Amino acid sequence: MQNQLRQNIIAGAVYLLFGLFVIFVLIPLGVDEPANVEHAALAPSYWPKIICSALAALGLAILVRSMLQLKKRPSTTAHKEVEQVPETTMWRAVVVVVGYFLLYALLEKLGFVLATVIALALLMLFAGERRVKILLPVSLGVPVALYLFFTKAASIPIPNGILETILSGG
Amino acid sequence: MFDTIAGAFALVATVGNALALFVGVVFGTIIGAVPGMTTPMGVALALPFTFTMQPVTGILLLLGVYKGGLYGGSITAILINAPGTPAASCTGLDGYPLAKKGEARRALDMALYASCTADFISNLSLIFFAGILASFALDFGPPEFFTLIVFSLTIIAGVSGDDLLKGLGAACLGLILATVGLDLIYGSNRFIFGEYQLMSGLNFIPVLIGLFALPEVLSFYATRQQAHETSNLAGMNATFADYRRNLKSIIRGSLIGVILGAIPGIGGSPAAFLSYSEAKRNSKNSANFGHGELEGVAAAEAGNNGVAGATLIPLLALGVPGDIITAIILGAFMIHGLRPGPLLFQDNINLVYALFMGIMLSSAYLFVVGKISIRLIAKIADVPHRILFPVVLILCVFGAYAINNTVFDVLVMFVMGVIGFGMRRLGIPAAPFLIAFILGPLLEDNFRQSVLLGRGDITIFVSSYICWLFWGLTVLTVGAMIYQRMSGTKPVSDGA
Repeated sequence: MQNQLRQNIIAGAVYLLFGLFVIFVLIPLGVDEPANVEHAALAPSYWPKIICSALAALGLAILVRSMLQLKKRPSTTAHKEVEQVPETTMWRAVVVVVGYFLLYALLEKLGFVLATVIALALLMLFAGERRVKILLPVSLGVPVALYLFFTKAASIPIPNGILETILSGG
Repeated sequence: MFDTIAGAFALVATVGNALALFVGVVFGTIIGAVPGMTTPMGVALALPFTFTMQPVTGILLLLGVYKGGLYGGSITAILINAPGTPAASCTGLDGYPLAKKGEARRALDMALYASCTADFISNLSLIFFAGILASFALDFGPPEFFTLIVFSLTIIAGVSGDDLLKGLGAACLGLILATVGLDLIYGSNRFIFGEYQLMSGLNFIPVLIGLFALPEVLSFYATRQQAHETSNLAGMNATFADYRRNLKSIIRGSLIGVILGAIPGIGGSPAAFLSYSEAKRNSKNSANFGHGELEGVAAAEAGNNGVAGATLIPLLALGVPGDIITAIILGAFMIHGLRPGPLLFQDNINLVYALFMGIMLSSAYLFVVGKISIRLIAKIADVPHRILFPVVLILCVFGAYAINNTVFDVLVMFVMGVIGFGMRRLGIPAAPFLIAFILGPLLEDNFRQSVLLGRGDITIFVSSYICWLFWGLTVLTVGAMIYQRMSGTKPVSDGA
């Protein structure tokens, strides 16, 4: 309950702040208004403004509701509830997210096959797989199979990066 | 008429289509059987493989994944009490006790027979009703389409989970993301900030994969790993006598599935539970329900699979998705340059009939796949998550790239994955976000076209009986949902 309430307060604040940020910052900066708009409802900024006003209002409603629930709730149960939240290892997700962006940065330089072979091996190692007889064939086999499918069967060019000469056969 | 059917047959009767549908059913069954993998995720992962296929082939592949996923969820629900899909949790109520008694094989067989029967009945309903509904929709103009899309957005309430306000907020986020790109009427920039790749807007596939597949991967890494229970297939097969004894519950469940499936936003879970409770209420063995009653497995699976064909009725006839999976399939139609709705029946009737024929074949495939490969699929479902999720991530990278051959889409997918993970941590559902993202441009386009048609007069939105009908249905649906929530009975949704 405590955890859910905290989630709701953050979600409400995110909705409210994001809605206001779009209305007052992103729309003036990022939406080009034509000189002659026949009706206000046809303006390019009209629809985003309506949506973001609704988003901000929903955020406010969630915040008000959460505050009311916070007032009603007896404080004695709070400590027990916090203990019930399952233990997580968030840092592991953060490492994977950093890995996502590293992979993105290397996709064109190293080429899809090499970058994903390395990424797959590291991700499996990080997830706890230690058997070489699994790590090696899976991390090599899956990217190569996907590469072959997309380039040969679907005729979609995949960047080869530094393996260009080997993979393009020349 | 005969020419149309012959043309459709020529379109569908190819080895490629038969193979695509079969692969789709197998892949969907595997995805459904793996706890932690969802059917929408399976459809999202399969989508990039359809880009270079013929429209019929690609859509049949996705429909195969959808139907396989619905059934596959029951396999692990029965074997290890770990439902692969939310709807399959109802199957596990009696399936798992049966497996514990050493009758896993019998429960799996009954689940399969009920699934195939319900799927067949649901497909028939699609064939009979979609055309009628589409002919009615031929009179629609922009105001009618706007009100229809407003009505179809009420499905957001059905996929919002426990907190409607958060679900509506997620829908607003999806709608605002859909406005990125060139303005539909004036062609001016909206939220592009000099990035030319954003001019055509964000492609829905990286958004979809990012929202549905990557948060699963991140959650796997972030939470402590669960011990993986292995499955055990035991006991005798179900007999024809078992099937005949439960046929009444199967047909009842199928019809419940058809009715609930045709209503946007309800999904498989409520159909499975309603079918189960009706079977329990009418059964001679009602006391045995929950302790390993075969009829319970049959009823749950019939309700769950009865929705499969019916959810395609509003999609094909009106162009509005009934749930998150049909929303993804709507996107697949668009990728292939097709727009589901009444005009599809007018301009591409061959394709519609070809899809109908293929869908009928999917029921047979489901039976074959289920019968032959249960043992193998149960083994695949045992693949440890430490191997499965890294592989899923690599599949996502290739899939996101393949849409437009640009790594920018991979970046979009990663960013959406982080956003999706953040949303999950805050209890914000992803399904309303995606549905609004897909329907957003249609909603805005029809709204602005109507305003242009009415020269700024907003009474155009109440100018026809069809508009009134959809406003009425919207008010009725929203009212029913508010009543349901106020009276404390939470709607059961697939949530996706």
